[in-house]
Amino acid sequence: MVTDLPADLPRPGRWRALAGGLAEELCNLFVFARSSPGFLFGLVVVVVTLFLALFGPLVAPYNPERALPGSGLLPPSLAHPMGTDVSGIDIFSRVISAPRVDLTIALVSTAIAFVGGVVLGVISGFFAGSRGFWRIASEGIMRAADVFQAFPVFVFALALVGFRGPGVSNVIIALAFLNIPFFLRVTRGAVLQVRERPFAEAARCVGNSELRVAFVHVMPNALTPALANISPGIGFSILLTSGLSFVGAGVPKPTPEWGSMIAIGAPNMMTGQWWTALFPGLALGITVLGYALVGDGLRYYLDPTKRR
Amino acid sequence: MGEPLLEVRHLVKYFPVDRHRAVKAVNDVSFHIDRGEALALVGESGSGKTTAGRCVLRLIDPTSGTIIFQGRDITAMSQAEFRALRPHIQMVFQEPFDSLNPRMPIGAILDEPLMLANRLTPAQRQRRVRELVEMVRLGPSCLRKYPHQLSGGEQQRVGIARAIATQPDLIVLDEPTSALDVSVRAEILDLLTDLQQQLGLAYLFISHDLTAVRRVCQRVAIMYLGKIVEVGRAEEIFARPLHPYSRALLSSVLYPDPNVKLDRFLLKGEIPSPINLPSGCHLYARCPWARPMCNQAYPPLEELLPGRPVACFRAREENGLVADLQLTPAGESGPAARPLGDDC
Amino acid sequence: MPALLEVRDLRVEYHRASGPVVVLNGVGLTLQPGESLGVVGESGAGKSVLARTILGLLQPPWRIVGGSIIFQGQDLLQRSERELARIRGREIALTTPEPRKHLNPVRTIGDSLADVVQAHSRVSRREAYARAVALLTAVGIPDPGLRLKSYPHELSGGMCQRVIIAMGLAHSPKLLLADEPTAGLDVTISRQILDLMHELVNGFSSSLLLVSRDLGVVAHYCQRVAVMYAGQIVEVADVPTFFAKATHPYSRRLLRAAAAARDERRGVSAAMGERAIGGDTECAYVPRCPLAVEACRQQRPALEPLRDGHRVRCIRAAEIASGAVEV
Repeated sequence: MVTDLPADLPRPGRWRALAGGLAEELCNLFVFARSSPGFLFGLVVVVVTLFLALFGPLVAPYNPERALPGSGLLPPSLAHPMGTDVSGIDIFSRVISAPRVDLTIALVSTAIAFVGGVVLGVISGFFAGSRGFWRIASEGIMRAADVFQAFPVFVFALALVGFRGPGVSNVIIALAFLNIPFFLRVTRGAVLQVRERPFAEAARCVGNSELRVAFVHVMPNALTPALANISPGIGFSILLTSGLSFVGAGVPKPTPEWGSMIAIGAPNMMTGQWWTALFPGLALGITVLGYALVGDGLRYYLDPTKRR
Repeated sequence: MGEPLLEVRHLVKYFPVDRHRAVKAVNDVSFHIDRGEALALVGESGSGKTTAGRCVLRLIDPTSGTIIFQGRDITAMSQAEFRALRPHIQMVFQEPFDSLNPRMPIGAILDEPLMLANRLTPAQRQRRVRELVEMVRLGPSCLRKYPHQLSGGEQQRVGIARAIATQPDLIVLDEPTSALDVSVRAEILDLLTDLQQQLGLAYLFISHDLTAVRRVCQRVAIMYLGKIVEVGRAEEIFARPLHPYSRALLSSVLYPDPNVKLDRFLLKGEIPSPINLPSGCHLYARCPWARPMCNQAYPPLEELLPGRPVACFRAREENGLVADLQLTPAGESGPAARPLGDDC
Repeated sequence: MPALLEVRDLRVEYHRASGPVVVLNGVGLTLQPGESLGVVGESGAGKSVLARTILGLLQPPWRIVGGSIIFQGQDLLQRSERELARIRGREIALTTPEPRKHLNPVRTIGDSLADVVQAHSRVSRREAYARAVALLTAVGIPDPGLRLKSYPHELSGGMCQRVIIAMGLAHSPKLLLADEPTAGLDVTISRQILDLMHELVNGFSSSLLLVSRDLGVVAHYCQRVAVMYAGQIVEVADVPTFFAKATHPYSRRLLRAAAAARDERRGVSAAMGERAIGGDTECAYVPRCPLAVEACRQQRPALEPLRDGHRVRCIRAAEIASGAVEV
């Protein structure tokens, strides 16, 4: 990048120059956020959930995992803003402690799936139809992806539990493997199109090696579908986690997790104790929505043609 | 003079469609370009001109034939070896916007070829980038902009600046003005002519636009369905096209002047598919001069006038050229049908 | 003789999140029966939008915000969708710059053509196919019986354009709107298509509104020419007058650029550059006009007659025409 500014350009503001490129980007991001209420809302949700993930259990008024006998199924009150669940644990404490588990699982597994899926998608898309080693690599990746997608995730997760014992890391591995083929395919589709565009040819022309053309030129222009699917991916991961917890292949019982809280609390709604499932459900819904909006906004923000 | 900068010999490129058939995009094409010379490859869709240009750049690998650049056979090289030569042969693309990476600012786009050639320090590269921008008549303020912020003409100037960045000897230009508005074309063509003179560049100018070709190029080779049908100096071909296809091309140009009478020399029908090529002259089905003999064999390139190879059995007669029986000083008979083997 | 088509003060906007963008800013033109009018201008001037507006093909976010389109005495903008559907394809036909994209890729040419025939006349399917064959022959497609069974992707660009023309002329329309009929076509094919259209339009005594960026096409295939700039007509004249005596500074620039592109002489810069359309407060060409004076910024000039059949939207037109000023 040309870092030296030509003399005729206006100089950036003093504090921006001090803080450097990253600060400038963040600043641009906030300016953008101001103009888009959806994005702003999502950003707030992300920040709050991240905060709770870090500090939730510490600021919770009650221990989110210790049952208080005799306090089962109390309706919302001043002492228990969200009531208590069937074991007497304060629901509010559980709701705000859950992000630590849910978000960790969702973010880590999605991050792994994204990075792995995108890289594999770029390789399989860029070298599709070529000759030699890379062609074999490309085909091989696609066949492996087929296998993984065909494999039922619940069976896979249960098998992992069988091998390694229960735990959060099983869920992360299972979800990552489930989602890699998805990111792979959407990226591959985009790459197949982008690699035909003249600027990819031009990149080859100016002397880039094939790998540089693939990762420096084609990939950044093929990321949009993958990026657009991160937030749904996160939402989906949280939902899947609850399902896995329900069959015993996910988060172990007392650990607070929105999905399992909903699952446990759902029968209580029949008998009139609506608070056991509603609050974790609301929390889940708002979180997924927030991440989706941030995903949309980021995608718009990152596209240089739309931004200006 | 010396040896030519680029020599293409019997270039062939087939694209297989299935096991039995292939698109014969380039079908035995030979030409050369001297240092500092601009040669045009003119033709319509299916002529193979674009494919030929991409073979010269090794963006496509030829099926057979030889391409010799600065005395070296580039068809025999691997991609890795050829990459070392890329700074010497560059390309300007048809789509001004799409040939630039939309996520890279102009400064980075122009810096990249220099960085990859790895011969300058970063400071030198920055100076060179600013120099390039000036040479194509753009201001330095564009360096921080992204491609979509520039107009089509400006984008194409960036493409040209990128092409001259590493001081190449040869630039392949693939329809560089076709996607631009008419008013901008003239500027870009002038820029290309100026740069050619200033920098001593050689051009392989691929186009279907004869008027653009006329401004920029010294020699013209006209292609139809994968073969060269006529070659000559630009002004000669424009003044007196000998091959019927050349004549039809020229007469299809509509001058923005209602007083210019339209030449009614037109071809019938469509351009045939390059998959099912007839065995005789490819123009047979459409040509106003066609006779049965034209369908028997493919006409070889013959020099009907000095330096004017033409591939047509009937061209001599239809153009009123009689074989000149004057003896040359060496005692041989004059420019009668001297079949041309390879070069034109 | 009443005009076949009269567009009066047509205004069209495009609505974006950031506000409406004016695309046609008071376009007016007339077309007599049997006449051919060329509309020229650079990309973005609004020529294609004009053609589509006449046929009522605009959907939101495009909006017609003013003016009228009088076709055969009736204002098309007041007609219902049903009435417009009857006019489309029968009285007014349209060709497009991307013919293949306008043919249904999963139907054969024969089906598409028969559909058009049956849309406006009560004939049996068999009769419709027979007419389709006749139409294909009329547009010069060889082996028309065989071609009926072809799909659009099997046809070349030139052939697709011929099919579109066949569909357009199926019911001998009074008006053919040809939007860049030779865009993307090879040069030798373009000449064929233009000659074909010319022949057919004359044969049916239809009127032709030819939209093009190419002044050469207009010079040889149109009787009159209208120049569009920034959503307005800035000059109208018959072709010989225009090419000899164009008066509006933009017209002159266009002509010089077109001439320069084909000559060996040095080019003249006639790039349009950025321009915002809209506002009646000044002449739209002021930012680029070498002859702009204070009066030009006061109000938008009207399209005034300069001489018979020649109108110019410029307050200095008389000066320019007399040669008092150099453009």
